[in-house]
Amino acid sequence: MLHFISEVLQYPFLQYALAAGLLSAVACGSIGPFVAARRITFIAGGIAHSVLAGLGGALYLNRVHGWTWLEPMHGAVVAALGTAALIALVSLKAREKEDTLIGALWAVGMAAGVLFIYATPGYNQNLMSYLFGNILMVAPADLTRLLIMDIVVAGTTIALYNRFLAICFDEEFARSRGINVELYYVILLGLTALAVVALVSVVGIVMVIALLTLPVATSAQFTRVLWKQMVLTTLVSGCLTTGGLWLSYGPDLPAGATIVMLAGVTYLAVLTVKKLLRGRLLLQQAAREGSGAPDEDHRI
Amino acid sequence: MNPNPFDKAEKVIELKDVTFAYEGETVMAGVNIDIHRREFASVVGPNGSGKSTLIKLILGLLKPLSGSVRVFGQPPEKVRQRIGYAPQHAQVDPQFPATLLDVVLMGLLRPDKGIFGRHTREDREAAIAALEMVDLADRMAQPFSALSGGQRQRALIARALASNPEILIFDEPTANLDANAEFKLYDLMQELNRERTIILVSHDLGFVSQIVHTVICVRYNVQVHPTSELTGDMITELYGGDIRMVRHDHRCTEEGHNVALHK
Repeated sequence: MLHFISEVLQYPFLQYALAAGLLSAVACGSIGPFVAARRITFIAGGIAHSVLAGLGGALYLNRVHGWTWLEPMHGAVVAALGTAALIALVSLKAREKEDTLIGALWAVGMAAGVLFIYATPGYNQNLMSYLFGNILMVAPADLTRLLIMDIVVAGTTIALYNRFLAICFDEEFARSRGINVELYYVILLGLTALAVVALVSVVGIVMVIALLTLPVATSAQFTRVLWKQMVLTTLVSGCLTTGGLWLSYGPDLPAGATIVMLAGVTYLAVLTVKKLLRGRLLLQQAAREGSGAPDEDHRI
Repeated sequence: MNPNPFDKAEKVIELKDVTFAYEGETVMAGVNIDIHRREFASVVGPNGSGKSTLIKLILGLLKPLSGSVRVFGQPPEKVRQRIGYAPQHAQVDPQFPATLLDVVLMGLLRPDKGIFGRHTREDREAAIAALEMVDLADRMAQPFSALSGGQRQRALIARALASNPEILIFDEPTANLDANAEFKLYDLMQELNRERTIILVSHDLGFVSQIVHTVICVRYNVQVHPTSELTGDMITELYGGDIRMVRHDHRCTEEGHNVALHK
């Protein structure tokens, strides 16, 4: 631990990695609870995987056609937003085709990405780092980009909180109040896309879903109010990325995988402790009342 | 047809020759309905008969293929703030992360309130008043998920009440509720009917017939009956074949059971 801290103080690349983890936690906490509440994790997964097409495409254009201004991350943002828009359009017009479309974008996006990277000459370590993340390679420019994404995602979710809450809870009722459900849904998916791109740089495409779901599921064990889940998820994600980085650094493990593993273990631990505590409480209550069943039903 | 006591009252909802088609298939045709101020109208009909369609037409969520829908003499989307809608509680996610007050405040969102839709102090007061009407004000800070089915249904009714609408539309509010919760809900509706027009979609004809004024039978075309006209034959025709009817108010005479359907 102390060793890790002194290393952090010494090496900028570790500072960048830590900052990237904390910044992505903000994106994760701002949008994750909405993704869970609206149950659109599968859509987020589709967006994440389609990002590879953008990363690969931009890399290809950069190296082969000399578009030096175009960085892979630009491609990622374009691919994620494009996928989100397409899914939003289809899910609003023809919900029954939504699943097929997500599945298709998921797989075809991956395939396009792989082909682009294959066609790009030169030594290519990129595919692995795109898929599984490489937080230790984060540069100051990436941090600026992450910060901008955070401001957009967190700022919008806070500003539109009431609207988002209403359309996630009951789309039809929101519509009956005259709310433009379609517009807000498209914005919600767009923000999800940005958050996904932010998380890709930390844990990679394959494990984005873990960071978008596990910290939310963990905080949902403590609060059933969405804005509180946003705050708590940000804190939990920040601890997870920092903790994962620390755990992986000594034994030189891949940071992304360690973070995700830590997220999973944390969730399971919280769940288990909560179950045990509740079991004990019920037992105590039953013992106090001298009956087998706890009486909590005064409600209709 | 028996004289309808509401014939002289102001018409608040008016459907004229309404035809509606879903994906090319005609769901309802030639529908004419008048609903008057302070009328309690129940919409009945078998599953898939178009009860929800009818409600969505009145809410302005669907547009008729032909004919016209008028609420307070205007297209429904112009008077949204004067209509309150409460869907079935089973339609919303019981685990949704929001407090009871959050849910009721959703009833006060309106498009002309700026893009952010922030709630004002008046909004909160109105939401709390609505919660008081359904007897849940003491639970407003609790998560929605901590409520029972009956309480969740009442929460959705409070959400519909929050904007103090003149028309209330309930879509099968008693589905999946136990008898006690159902009973309380009918009491509440009767209470609300003193000042408001109510449209209730229901499958429970027998019970409902005691508090409603008009029964709107939906099955492709729509027929409107005063409750006093409702007979067992009509119900059989409507639902086709055997249905079970709960007789909440029946009398035994020498001739046998006699279903009494009164106003």
